[in-house]
Amino acid sequence: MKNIYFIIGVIFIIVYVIKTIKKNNFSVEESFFWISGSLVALILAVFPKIFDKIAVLFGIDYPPSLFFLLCIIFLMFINFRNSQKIVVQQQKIIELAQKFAILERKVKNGKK
Amino acid sequence: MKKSKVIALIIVIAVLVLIYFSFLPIVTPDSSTYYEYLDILKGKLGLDSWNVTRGPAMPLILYIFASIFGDNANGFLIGTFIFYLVLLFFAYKIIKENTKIYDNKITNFIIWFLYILVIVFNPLIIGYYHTMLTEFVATTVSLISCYLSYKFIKKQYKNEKISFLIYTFVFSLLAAFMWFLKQPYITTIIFPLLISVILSIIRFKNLSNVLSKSLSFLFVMLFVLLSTSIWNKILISNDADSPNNKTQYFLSEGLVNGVTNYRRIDTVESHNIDCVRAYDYLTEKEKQEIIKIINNNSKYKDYKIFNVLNGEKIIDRKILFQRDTSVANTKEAINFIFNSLQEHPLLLADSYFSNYFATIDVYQSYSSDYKYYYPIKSFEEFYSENKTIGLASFYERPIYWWAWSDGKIEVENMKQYEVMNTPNETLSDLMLSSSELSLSIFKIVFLIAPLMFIYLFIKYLSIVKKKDNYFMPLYEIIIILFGFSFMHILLHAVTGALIDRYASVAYPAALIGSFLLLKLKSKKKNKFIEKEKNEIKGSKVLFVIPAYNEELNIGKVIDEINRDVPNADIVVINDYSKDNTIDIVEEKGVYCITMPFNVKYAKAVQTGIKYAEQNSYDYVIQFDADGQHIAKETDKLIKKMKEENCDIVIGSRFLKKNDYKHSFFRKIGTKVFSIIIYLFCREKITDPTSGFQCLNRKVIECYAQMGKYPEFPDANLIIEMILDGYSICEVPVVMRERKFGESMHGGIIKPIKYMIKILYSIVIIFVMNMGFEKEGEK
Repeated sequence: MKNIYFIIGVIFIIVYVIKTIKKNNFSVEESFFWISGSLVALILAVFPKIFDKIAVLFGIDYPPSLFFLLCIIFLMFINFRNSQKIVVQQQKIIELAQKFAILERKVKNGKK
Repeated sequence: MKKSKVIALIIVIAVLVLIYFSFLPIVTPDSSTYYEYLDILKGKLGLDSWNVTRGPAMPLILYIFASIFGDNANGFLIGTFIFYLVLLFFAYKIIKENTKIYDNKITNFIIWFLYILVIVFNPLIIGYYHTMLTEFVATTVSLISCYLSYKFIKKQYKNEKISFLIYTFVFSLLAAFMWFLKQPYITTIIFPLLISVILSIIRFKNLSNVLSKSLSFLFVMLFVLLSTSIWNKILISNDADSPNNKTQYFLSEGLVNGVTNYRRIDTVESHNIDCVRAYDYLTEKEKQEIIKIINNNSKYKDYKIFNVLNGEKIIDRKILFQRDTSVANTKEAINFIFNSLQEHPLLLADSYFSNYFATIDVYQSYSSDYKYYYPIKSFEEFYSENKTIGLASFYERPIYWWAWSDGKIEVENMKQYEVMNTPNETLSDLMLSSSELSLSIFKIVFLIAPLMFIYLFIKYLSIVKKKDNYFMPLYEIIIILFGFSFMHILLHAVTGALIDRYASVAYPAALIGSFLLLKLKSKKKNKFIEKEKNEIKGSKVLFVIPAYNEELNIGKVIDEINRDVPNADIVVINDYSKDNTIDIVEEKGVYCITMPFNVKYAKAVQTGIKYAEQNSYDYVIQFDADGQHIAKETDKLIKKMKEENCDIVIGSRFLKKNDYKHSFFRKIGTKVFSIIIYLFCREKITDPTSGFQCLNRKVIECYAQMGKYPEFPDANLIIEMILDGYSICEVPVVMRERKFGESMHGGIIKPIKYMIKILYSIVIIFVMNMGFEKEGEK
């Protein structure tokens, strides 16, 4: 069957994500988008006819380009979310650094 | 529970009957050859008309169907439906035994779900039960044989003499029956029995067991040989063709064909002596023999020359001498293969691997001009009998009988099978759309079968050594199922019968083996067998109160705790409040920890728990700062924890009926979580979202670790703790309504996002605990 290797690949991704969650290298909350995206990809791989119908709905002549479009949207979304998290993390780190600097000075004063 | 199971069973059977009888059986050329023997069985023709290419079993089955159920398509379908029900029954038995012992609710549910979806309603399997060929009998018998072999492992002759003998006798009858059905299908009995004997010998090493099991196996083989010779004598005494020759011919041709990197080029007629002398690769001795054959003064009557190919290049020539032109000799063929093994071992291995892949539909099995019957190693669409025969019932097409007569019999009466097959369009679409998935699963299970068989067999040796009786039966059944499927296809690969239809016989066995793999990493029952006795040694209790902008409530809360639970410590986690919360707390003299930035509820609570862990507190009470929790009720919590030695005690608002008013949505949410927790963990938690909890030392140490306290610590956290083996109890408590300030769960979008996140979290926790983890990894 045409999509068999794709299905195996998607299942592998899902198993891999869950394994990293278990090893504490990833969190359940963050995995939501990856797992749901993989599940959508799995459904589309098992029933590729849905794809053609959706493509017609969106007025896309060549159904595989719909697949690329969805992938790109997914990746952009994850990317933006990651950028958001980086910004917030940066702010928190600077806050910690500032508070730590002030605290350290206090502790040194106290020791004297 | 039982009533709903009965109803579900009735529904499944009704749907099955509807689907099964909506499609007509498929007649192939071979079907008509089986059918033509009915005249002999009905007595209209003599036994001398019996063409020995077919054994008597399949005509006998067709005759029984025709006489009991009617000599038409429906009669045939009723008969095969009975075989199908037997298949499902034995599949059910195999799965039932292994889901009962290793009780993991989620895995069991998934396995039963897969059973219904992939075994009961598999288009490829149903398709072969609609074909008038031998596959449906062999598939059913294969599962019966796997089940009996599994049971046979534990049978010891000295303990259960009669049962042992009955098993041996049943195996012998089945083996003879399968030989008479179609000779290669004796693998359905021989391989499971052989694996069963080997496993039994590994497990019970005493002499009596070794002897009795080996004798049993020998008896089965002898019985088959005896039955075959009796049948052959009957045929010969009735002037039928000589059966021995045909059998030998098929076997030897098959064995040599299986070595497919060798391409046969020519025989005696097309050669002259100069040609022979010019061959590079043959030895002088071989050339002399060939010349003798051409000149008619050799003990051999014929020779075949094979080009040994590595890809397209000819790297060697090999020669097979035959004593008799009309019959190829099995002994010569086996000798030929052994010699090839010595000279070109890798090529032979390559042949057998490729043949294996061709038989399970991974490679193309014919060259594009259909001249050469060898695997072409490209992953392409190709002619496959699974698609043209196995799934043929679901296509709308005319069914004709073929006048494909093997010998002296005329086929006339297959007219009742000549109909237009117009199945219900919806059902047909349903079957055909899931057939692609079925064909993919077909490839996958047969690809993993050899690997899992070898891996599990080696692991079984270590399990027997360790005397780990808990998992032994599970390993045994999976080894039998995978071993049978793998060896069955390997046999066809070795004899060069690269037809995927033959592999379909082992399909259900390999499927069940794959499903049972999910059970392999089940946890043993009795986690935390020894509950540590919590010594009541002046236990230190800490109230952890996370606070965000709670200046209006926090003062009263602290006063209440100081008044009602005086010997407990308090720590307030100020989650970067923007108001005067911290001033009020420090005024009261309570230890306050301020977060450098807002970390939200869960991480604030975790900070408090970390503090408890660092300062060796025995109990932590999670307490809300909004005044909803009543301090006096903590005595109930601590009392319950000391009495029943639970790890977590939850103060539940709903255990006893009281006046607590909940908003409608929150009530539904709580109910949903309660039901989910009950379904999957069998624990009745009436108030999973309650933040009024008491944690003991074990749980404190667990929560304090990095990454162990999720963003929304509600039902998902409870389920995770239950699955990890912690015990959770509940006590009924009273709570007040929130008076001032803003709740955490306000608005519309927030609760919806929260529900989705929790449900998703629960699903992931189930999948993680389903059983793929090694023990002690968490």
